[in-house]
Amino acid sequence: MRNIYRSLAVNSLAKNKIIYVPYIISSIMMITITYVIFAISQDPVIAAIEGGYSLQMIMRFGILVMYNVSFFFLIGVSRFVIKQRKKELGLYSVLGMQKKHIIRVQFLENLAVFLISGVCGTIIGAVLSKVVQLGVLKIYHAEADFGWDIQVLPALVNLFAFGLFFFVFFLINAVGILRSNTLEYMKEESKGEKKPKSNWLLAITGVILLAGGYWMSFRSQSAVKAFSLFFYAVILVILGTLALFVAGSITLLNTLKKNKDYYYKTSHFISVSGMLYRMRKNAATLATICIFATMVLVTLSSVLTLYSTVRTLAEEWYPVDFNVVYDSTSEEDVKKTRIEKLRAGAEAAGIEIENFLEYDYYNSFAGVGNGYCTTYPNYSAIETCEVFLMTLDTYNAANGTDLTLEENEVGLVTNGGKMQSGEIRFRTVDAEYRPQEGQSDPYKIVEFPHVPKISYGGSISLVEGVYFFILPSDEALTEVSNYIGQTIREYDDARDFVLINTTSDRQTQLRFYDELQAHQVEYDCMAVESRIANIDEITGLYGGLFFLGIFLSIAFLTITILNMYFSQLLQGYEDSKRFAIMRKVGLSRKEIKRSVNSQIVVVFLLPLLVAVIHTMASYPMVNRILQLFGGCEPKAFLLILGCCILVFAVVYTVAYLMTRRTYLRLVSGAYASK
Amino acid sequence: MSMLEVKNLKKVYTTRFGGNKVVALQNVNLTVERGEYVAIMGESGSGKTTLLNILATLDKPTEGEVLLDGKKMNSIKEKELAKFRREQLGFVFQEFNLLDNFSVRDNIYLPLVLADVHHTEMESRIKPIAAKLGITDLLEKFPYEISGGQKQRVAVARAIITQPEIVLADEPTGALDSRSTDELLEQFANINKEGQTILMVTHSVKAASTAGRVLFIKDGIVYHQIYRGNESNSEFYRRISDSLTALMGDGFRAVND
Repeated sequence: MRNIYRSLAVNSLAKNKIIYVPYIISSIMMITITYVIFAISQDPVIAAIEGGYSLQMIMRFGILVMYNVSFFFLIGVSRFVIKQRKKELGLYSVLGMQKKHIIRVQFLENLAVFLISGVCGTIIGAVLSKVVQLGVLKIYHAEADFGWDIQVLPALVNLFAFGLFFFVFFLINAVGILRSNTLEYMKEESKGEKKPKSNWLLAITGVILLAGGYWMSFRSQSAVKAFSLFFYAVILVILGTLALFVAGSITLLNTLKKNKDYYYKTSHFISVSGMLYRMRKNAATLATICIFATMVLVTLSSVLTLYSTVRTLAEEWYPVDFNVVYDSTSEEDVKKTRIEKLRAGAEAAGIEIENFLEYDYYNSFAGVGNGYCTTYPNYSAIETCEVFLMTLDTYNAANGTDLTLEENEVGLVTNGGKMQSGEIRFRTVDAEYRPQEGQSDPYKIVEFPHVPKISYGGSISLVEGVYFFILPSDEALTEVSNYIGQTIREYDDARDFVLINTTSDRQTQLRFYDELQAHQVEYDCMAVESRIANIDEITGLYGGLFFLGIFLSIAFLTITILNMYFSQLLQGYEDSKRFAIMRKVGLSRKEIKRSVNSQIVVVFLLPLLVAVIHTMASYPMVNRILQLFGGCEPKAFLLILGCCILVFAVVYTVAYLMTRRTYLRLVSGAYASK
Repeated sequence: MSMLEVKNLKKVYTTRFGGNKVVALQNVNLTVERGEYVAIMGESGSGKTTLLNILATLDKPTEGEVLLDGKKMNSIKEKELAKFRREQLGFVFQEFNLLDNFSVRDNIYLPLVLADVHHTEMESRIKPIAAKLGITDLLEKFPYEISGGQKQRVAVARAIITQPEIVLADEPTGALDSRSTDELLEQFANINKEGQTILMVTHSVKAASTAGRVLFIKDGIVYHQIYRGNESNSEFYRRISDSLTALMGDGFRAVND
């Protein structure tokens, strides 16, 4: 007997492959995607690279979203599958199988679907996550470990979660079987639909949630705040979208329906009723499509923006080829020895020196704002910034300029900072942010044209802005550094710098960089920065982000297309019945086609349109967050965003047209029928 | 002049890949007078549904013609067919064919909405019909909420609300229990009494016995017809039944050949 159930289960899977193959494929894809995201979020190799940890935090958030999406998506698909098969199950029952036997067959079928998709999903996921890992490492120029590894914990947790999902699907199904009688079961397929009810409360809640999310985006002030609020905004928008699609659409349509002058018109009558039922069945799917489309757009445009502008930015942050940092000294002998050693080293390494600049400046973190520059910044009142102090002579020498300053003036250049004009005083606050006694006389700010050609990119992503204060004389520098210098001395102290520009090739530069790094003691220097090495590192980091972003976009796109496919399948089954009736009642083929096409187009366009609106609304917030990652050009971001929307719309349309074939195949019978 | 006239109607189906030809109807002639209630009887596969589909303009004859009020139905252009169908003809089907996404009221309104009738006019039309058919309380319900007999009455309401020339009914009692069947047949008779022309296809003797005239069709040929005259339903029932039994004999093979 046992074998009969098994072969029944296997047979019915094989016979119903038109519905089971897409079901299994989508289960495999869901398991694959969740596994990959899970594995990457736990991957120690990725955690070790710079920025990897924060990336993993984001992905951990993504896992929860993915499980929710998978559950609701697959439950929809499984119910669809069962609905198509009810007649067959009814027949089993008529032929003498008891309910418990049918349930047993169902259990075996569910188990089979789970095992097939679980094994395939985990294997594909393991391969994919390795590819992603290697890709990230390659772009990051990090050592790649080609060893083979399935991460056991994510694999098990993932399989357990999906096993639970499939068990829940089975239970829902079994309860359905137990509660129905045979004849009901056979008729189930043709059973009508419940009347869609308006839900004003949910619709209004949706509007409020969405407005909240949008408001957070439009009101986002600083990058750090935007970053911390981003996830809340995302959650609000997701919930708002769901509520609006599910309740809002039906409430709106019901309102239209109540207006008799509007409703009882040939062009509205069939469309409104049709849309009402289409939305009732598809609203959640459409909302999912919309949310994932938004995610694709935001992710893709952000990583593209970062990746495309980061090189330009990096070149701006590191304008000189080498930046060698020494502990400040006033002894000329020491200075001389150091420089001779450095020159000799450069020559030995084959570096052709283009120019060789020595100069000194102070460098510290400080708070800038409200007309003050203070150390021990008060975070609530002013922005934390990186501050460079230098003399006018140094600035002119570095930039080859010939600028002048009055005695009570200070030159200012800033990257990302808000304060650009007015007066400024320098002072120190203590650990409790109380101003210490004394502060500098106010300096009038003069805006300087160029950022000094010194490397300043090291901490740019940590601060709100970088300020360069150019003081008119050595005395002024000493005075200012006395006011804010107490702490500067404690932490950074003053530095001497040597900047070298070279015409040598990349390999030579990297060799010299390695040499300097390896022999810091011999050269008596504290740190070395190489422009090429730094740019490699930064583009590598953003390259890793870029790669992950592309992967996530593809994953999201896959889910979007799967959702679209099932939505078309469902609508195809429904519409084919309805068309046949409408034909008989006296609608011409053309009238039916026109009305249904307009509904289908709305169902197709709605998620895309809302996704584009969401993406536009996310712009201010995402733009702020991108500033945190290194101050991209807003214009460049906007341009890339536009391109992404355009490309996505094309891909979406192509995917739609492809899935539409399924729909047309299903309804063509009805079109052709007499 | 007869209201509906069918002349030398022939329908041949060709299987999809050429090959076999199946003659569904051959040389069918019949007329229906205004206000008549005609039943067409025959077994499954006798060609009666094909005949009805051609009368309904859902299908086209291979040869011959159909005239409604003297107008050739074959000559109506494809574009105008749908309009003609919903203005001149009313349909009642075995499987009801109600749209599950419309309320009962909207299902009945459907042909009127397509004809651009104003909703106040529709409301005034639906009232007497719904009262007559006993579905006034069901108007705001949805098809899945009502019984088969009720569904069929809704379908009848939808068929007659356009005040069609003729109501075509295809096995209207086929999916109903006996009580619902009785109710529906009584309503058909009442509607007919008010002047509505009805043409019904059925294989139920009971259904046919409510008609004024019964045509028998077999293997694509109309070979017999009987009139009710002044007989009661049960007397007519017996006569139809006798005719069927008698006509099933071998003699009719000769006619077919």
